[in-house]
Amino acid sequence: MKQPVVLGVGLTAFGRRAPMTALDLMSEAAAAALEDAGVERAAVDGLLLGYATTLPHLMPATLFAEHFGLAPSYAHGLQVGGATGLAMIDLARHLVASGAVERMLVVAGENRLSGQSRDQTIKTLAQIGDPEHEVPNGASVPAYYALLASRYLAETQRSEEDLAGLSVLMRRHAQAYPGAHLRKTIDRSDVMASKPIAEPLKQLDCCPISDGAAAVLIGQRGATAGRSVQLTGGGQAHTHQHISAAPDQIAEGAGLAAGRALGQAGREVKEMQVLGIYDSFSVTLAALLEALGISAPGQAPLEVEAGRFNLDGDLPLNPHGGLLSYGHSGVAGGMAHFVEVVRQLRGTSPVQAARMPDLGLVHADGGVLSSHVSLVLEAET
Amino acid sequence: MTESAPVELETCGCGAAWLARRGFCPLCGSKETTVVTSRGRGVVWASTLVHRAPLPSAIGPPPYGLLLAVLDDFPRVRVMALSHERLQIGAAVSLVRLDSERSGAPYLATLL
Repeated sequence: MKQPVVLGVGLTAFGRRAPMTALDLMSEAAAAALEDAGVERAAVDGLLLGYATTLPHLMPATLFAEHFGLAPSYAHGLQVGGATGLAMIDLARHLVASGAVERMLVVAGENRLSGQSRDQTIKTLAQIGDPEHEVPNGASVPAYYALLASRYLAETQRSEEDLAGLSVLMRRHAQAYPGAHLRKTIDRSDVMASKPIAEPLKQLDCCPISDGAAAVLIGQRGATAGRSVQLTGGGQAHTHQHISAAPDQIAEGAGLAAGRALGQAGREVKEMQVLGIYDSFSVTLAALLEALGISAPGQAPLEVEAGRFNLDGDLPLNPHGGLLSYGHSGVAGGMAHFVEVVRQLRGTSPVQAARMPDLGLVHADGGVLSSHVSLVLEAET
Repeated sequence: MTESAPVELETCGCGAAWLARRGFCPLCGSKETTVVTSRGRGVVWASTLVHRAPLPSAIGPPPYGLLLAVLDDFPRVRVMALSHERLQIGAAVSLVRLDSERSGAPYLATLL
């Protein structure tokens, strides 16, 4: 077995990137990842591509390979909603470890903001719901997560103001990060006063819709200069598709996935030193931090307030600003957390944590906390 | 849209019950399943008031209530339903299908 490592990462600026198309954005991120790795196109023998709602296609990986100038010996698309990026990296890890692929390029991106209307995006995303028993009610992704939020608040006795603190933390982190979509200073009263979307969620509890792309090159150990980042564990859990069929503890798949990833790495969650956790809504981040075992039930918002997840706290969280403020361009939005944790472990982030981390956990969910992927990353010290 | 109708489910002799018909039991694999009618009473498990939506709902444009209710007679089944206002978690509701000519949603919940 060969030890899989991160050879290079690329992340475009997120926001309104018109007239860039999905292929333009993917190409920008892929070129950045290859440049970061010091690898030529000809040396890429594997390609995994995330779906793009603005570029639906039967053969997305082949389409991108032709466009970008690759002729890989292994290539296909993949889709598990917001967990797609980490699922692709998890697969790349296995294929590199087995020797089936030497250098796997993982790419995702789309012009989700400028390439279609907001209503079209909301309608497309709503299709993760049950087409016969949920969607015809007028359900949408914000509504599904609002139902989750109502459960979270009822079970934990936390308040909407408590949840608002997670949005404020993500915005504070994004402010210093080049390329972040949203950077205007906000406080909890701004979140509380923002337009209601689906109670208890308000506009600033929800991530923006962004254009953007991300790319990662996974390969074998020994092929990189500088501080190498190893992928030492990965785990998944797929507990349900629709929220009406979710377990009573809706987010429990997160704990299952992380347990599998940490077990494989021979690590415990309390050893982690930097986090990249999916944050499509403020409540997503709170629910995942708790289901992952990072915070006790109901404690995540209080730990945010106490500074635990700040850059100078003991466990920096989403230093790039997460989906809530760096932005959300679909699959690439979930990959940005991975890119940022790699940068933190290599010491190359534009907002480096006060204490150089050696161990990181990245986690994403797709659907309504339906599909979960966790990855454990370790700097080679 | 026509008059309202009862909530229908598919059940299996092993005790499983589910909304989306599939002709087999997802728990034990049996093909001996039965379509049954719920009494339509339930308790609200999660609840929101939708303010922004791309299209009007079956009970009108936003704001409209949306909830998940657990059925009294099939406690493992959650029904997503519209409501005219935001209902509280734990509230007892009655549930109907709003359109008797089609199966499934839209469903409507009203306070008992």
